[in-house]
Amino acid sequence: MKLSVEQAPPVEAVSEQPRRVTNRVRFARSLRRYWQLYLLLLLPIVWFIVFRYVPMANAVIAFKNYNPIDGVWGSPWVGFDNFERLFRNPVFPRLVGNTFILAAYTLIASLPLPIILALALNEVRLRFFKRTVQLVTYAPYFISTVVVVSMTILLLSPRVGLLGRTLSFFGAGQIDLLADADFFRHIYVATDLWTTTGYSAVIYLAALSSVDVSLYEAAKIDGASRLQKIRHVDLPALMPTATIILILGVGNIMAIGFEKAFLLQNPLNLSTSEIIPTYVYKTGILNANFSLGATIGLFNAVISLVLLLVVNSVSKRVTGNGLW
Amino acid sequence: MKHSMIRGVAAVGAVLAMTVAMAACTPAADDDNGKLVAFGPQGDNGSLKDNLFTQEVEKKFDIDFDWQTTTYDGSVAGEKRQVSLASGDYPDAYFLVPWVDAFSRSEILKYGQQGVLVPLDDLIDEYAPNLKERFEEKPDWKQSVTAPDGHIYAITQWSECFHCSFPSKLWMNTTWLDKLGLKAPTTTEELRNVLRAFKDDDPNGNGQADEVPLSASASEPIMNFFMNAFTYAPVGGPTSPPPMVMDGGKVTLAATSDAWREGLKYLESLASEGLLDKASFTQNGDALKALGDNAGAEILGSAAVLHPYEFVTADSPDGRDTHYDAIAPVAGPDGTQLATWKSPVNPLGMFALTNKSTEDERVKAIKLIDYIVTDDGTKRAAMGPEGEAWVPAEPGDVALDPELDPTFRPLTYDETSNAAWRSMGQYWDSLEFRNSQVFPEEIYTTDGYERRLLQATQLYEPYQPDESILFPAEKLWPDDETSAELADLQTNIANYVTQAQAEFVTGQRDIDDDGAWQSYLSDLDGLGLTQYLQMEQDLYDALK
Amino acid sequence: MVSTVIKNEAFLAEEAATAAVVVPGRNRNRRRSPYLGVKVKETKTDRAFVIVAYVLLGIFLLVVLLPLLNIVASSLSSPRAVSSGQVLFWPVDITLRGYAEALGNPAIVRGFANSVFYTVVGTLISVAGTVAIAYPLSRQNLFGRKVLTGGVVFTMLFSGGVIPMYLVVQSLGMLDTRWSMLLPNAIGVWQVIIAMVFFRSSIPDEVYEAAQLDGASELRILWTIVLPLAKPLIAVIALMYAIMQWNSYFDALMYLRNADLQPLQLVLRGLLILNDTGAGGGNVTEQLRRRELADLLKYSTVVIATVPMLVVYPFVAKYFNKGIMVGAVKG
Repeated sequence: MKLSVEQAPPVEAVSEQPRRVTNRVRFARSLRRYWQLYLLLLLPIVWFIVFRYVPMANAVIAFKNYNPIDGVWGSPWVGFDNFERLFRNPVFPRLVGNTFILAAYTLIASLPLPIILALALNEVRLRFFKRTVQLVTYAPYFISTVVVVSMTILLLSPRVGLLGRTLSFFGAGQIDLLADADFFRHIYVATDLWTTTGYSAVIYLAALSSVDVSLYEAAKIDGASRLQKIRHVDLPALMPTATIILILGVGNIMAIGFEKAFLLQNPLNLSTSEIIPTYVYKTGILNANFSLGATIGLFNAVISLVLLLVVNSVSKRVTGNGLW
Repeated sequence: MKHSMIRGVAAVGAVLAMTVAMAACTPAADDDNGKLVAFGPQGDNGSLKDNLFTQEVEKKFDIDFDWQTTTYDGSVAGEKRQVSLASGDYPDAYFLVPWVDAFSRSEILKYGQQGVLVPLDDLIDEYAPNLKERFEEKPDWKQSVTAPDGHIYAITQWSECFHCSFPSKLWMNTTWLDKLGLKAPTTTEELRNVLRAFKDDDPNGNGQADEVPLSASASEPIMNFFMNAFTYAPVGGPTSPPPMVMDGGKVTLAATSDAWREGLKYLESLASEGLLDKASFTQNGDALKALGDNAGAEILGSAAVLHPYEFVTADSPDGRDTHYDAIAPVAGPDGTQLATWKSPVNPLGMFALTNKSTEDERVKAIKLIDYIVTDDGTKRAAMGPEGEAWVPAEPGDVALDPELDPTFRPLTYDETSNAAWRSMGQYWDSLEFRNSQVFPEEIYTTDGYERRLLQATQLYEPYQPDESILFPAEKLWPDDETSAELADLQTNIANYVTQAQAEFVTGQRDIDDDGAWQSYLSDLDGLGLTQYLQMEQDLYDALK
Repeated sequence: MVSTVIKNEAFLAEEAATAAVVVPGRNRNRRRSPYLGVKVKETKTDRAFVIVAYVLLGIFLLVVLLPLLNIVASSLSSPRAVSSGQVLFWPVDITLRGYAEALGNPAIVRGFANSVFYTVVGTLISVAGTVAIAYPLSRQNLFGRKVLTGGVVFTMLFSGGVIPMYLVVQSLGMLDTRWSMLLPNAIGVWQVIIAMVFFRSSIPDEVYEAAQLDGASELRILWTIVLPLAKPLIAVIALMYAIMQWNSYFDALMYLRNADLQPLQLVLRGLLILNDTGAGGGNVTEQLRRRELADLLKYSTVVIATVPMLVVYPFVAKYFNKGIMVGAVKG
């Protein structure tokens, strides 16, 4: 079906009238032109409503004292009790701080490595080597957290771990890195890097592979060195993707999981390893409370939203890339 | 066009929301066709539906089970149960496993009062004579399931694991003791000398000072053994409450007393001399085992854990797993000599009936429980059929506790069999039941392990503390609101005590510095210690 | 927001000059670069650079590979050898019992088949859904684009939680059905955003203008022009969804009761947990035997769960490795 050709932006076509093109008009035009796209959008939008927005409506639970017999709508309203409980808790500021620092550190540290890996893979020719590196570095993503943490603790245990044995081999004294509260964050991030770098690099590889080959040729002809080529062709190609990943990461920042931190906890690192999810888990064992969980979720969400908006607008200003 | 589209979307959304709300609002009346909808964890050895014990009792009690299963994974099983309750989609009956996930006391109170869980007392009176008898045999059990309002809303499993009642024992390499010509230590100072000898006198004879005199793992604090030479230390661990003791009817925090400080000083002195492995606070079970199993020479001198196979593998080629024996609690400078004792009472609820069950279903379920607490029933439910999981005792067999008459001998565990409910059906596991089972007399084998542990525990029995100083955490019934407040306070205080202890012992904080100790005490106050103790005191007083 | 990829003015000029080389007909989207076959000598710094790249990759490889070798070796060694620290990168006291125990369990085979089904069907649904929403939202002139994008991103921050989701699934009658594995998490906001960014940055406006001049409808543009260009993207998000499906077990735990529908991860995890219980019932000897089994299973289950994903990877990877796409934009 041939669309009638609508070349110039609609506004110019009605230059005779005063410029009062309402949203309604713009919507109507967009609909006429892109109706097939709107149709395509319909099902996914319904999905979002059913599986994302309807449950949100039920999240009113945060403000109610929930019980199963009365159900969601029948439970008594207790207002801001849950929020009060959170803010009154003397350790709450520390928890928020630990959670945020750990998440931010992980996010920032995990940005450059996958990019470097993807760029390096892009430079080498040997297909077998390339494929092997890709496959191997992507494998850790599937190793369960329990096994990764258990191996890490074993690795770092004094005397019996690999680290300990190497030290005794060289006659050096033993150090217990696990006992150092500050080091907890480094260990956490290191295990995260080990697990996710190869997997994250996949996205960048895809972005690099859709770069027009003739651009590389052109660069070569221009006499660019590999370094310059990376600076002027590869990196710009990766910029949109990297920025978005950063922004999304910031948006997800408070959604840090509880399992890894919980498994890495020990009495000597509690001052840094106790984060919101692990704390909620511990109090949850003593007193299962749906409302509290929902309240914390809401708290996290508000923080994430603010951060997201900030980072997004900064990014648009600096690099021109943003979510919208 | 734009407006109507939005209205259309809104309408769809509203209908959906209402449907959802209605589904949540109406707890469905019993419309499950007479099937007993039961909730319980299911393992990989087969489905609960096909389980032979299930089929047997279905026939015996005319029950038609419809299983809602969850996982044995404790970290998520609870969510499934919570969701089932929250959505109004809950079963007729619960058959839970304590170490996976079960109803807490405050939940029992909450759901009991809301009417979700139905009282069982009348049903028990009328249809469960065996259970009543058992309650008379073990009054603590009856007391533990009776809520403050006098009703029984959930039944807990009764398990009197003898060796578990003294969870922290010092297992020492007695072969090394013999080699060095030393006696088992009886005081803290003798212990110090033994550890010094382990460290300096090369008991493994390889010419290297690679021995580790004493170690532990992060999940079992060494406080549980050593502190008892100074003041009583209740059971502690990563998810335990802070250590509380009774002092003349008043609840106090053991971790603030001067005696506790003395105990910490002692441990710190061991640690700074290299006698206590500082890694005890950070290593996991695997790392501890790596010490015990060390390839080449034996290097572990002693460890404070529940049982030796936590730090050494059974049937070791060089027989080192037979080198460790338990040492009785040692006496402190002022003669204090106690052992951490764990009550067999489990404050959780495993069996419960909901308001969705019909009267008929309730009667059948209670009769089932009644059967499971008989001798035959418990064998069948928790272990398996005769001949497969156990055989009757023969003349000449010796029971675990030699003074009891032997009853039966358990056979080797077959992990693929799906003939019993196992932990899900273990409601009667009394001391006599356990200790009258037959085990080999050779204690240094895997099969005779139970006996080895029993004999070790008998060393600790005399040092069980007097009831007057024990804080009966397992007897309290906090309601939902109290429990919520307690949860935060308890987590904060327990976390801090654990952390501070580790820091004092490893030297990160100076135990000899009065200022450091004072700031430790005031930090605890800042976390709400007074309020916490008062709340626990109120709960304790309510027991009278 | 045009990609910076096509900003080079000089390049555009070259393109115009060499337009005559275009081959019409089926290959209208491919062109033979006039520079093919022209050899440019590598400078010394460039050669050094490549060596650095190889070294860097070598380091990445080792750092990742060695612990993996340890896991595989441990899965084939006796528990005692593992706990005594003898196993480094090669099995000691080789035993296949860990694998025999896991694979011999009939639940595993069933779980595997289920997981394959969920992964394949789930990925298809997810990719289709993602493209269906990301592509329209990537078009600059679509009215309402910003609001809808905001609406999508919003769901990443705020979620109803476990119980409200359960209520929805329940009220739709999806409990204990395969649909509960395929629909509730079908579309991921990350994937939608990544797809949006890709469409926006890799497909310049000129393509759309040219196609519209030719009178192609929007759907036709999507199907014949955009999607072929988006093969790397589709490969990536398909992989991401496949991995999510393969690894998932929480949804299965919540929504499934029937053991026949369980995915592999749930089965494997159950196998491990059941045996790894320190406080489990039964006498000590029984606990010991179970513990030993758990030690064996700990590593073998990890390997079993990982291998299928490794096998799948090369097939997908060829779509986002250079060499396949000689994509020119002008046709």
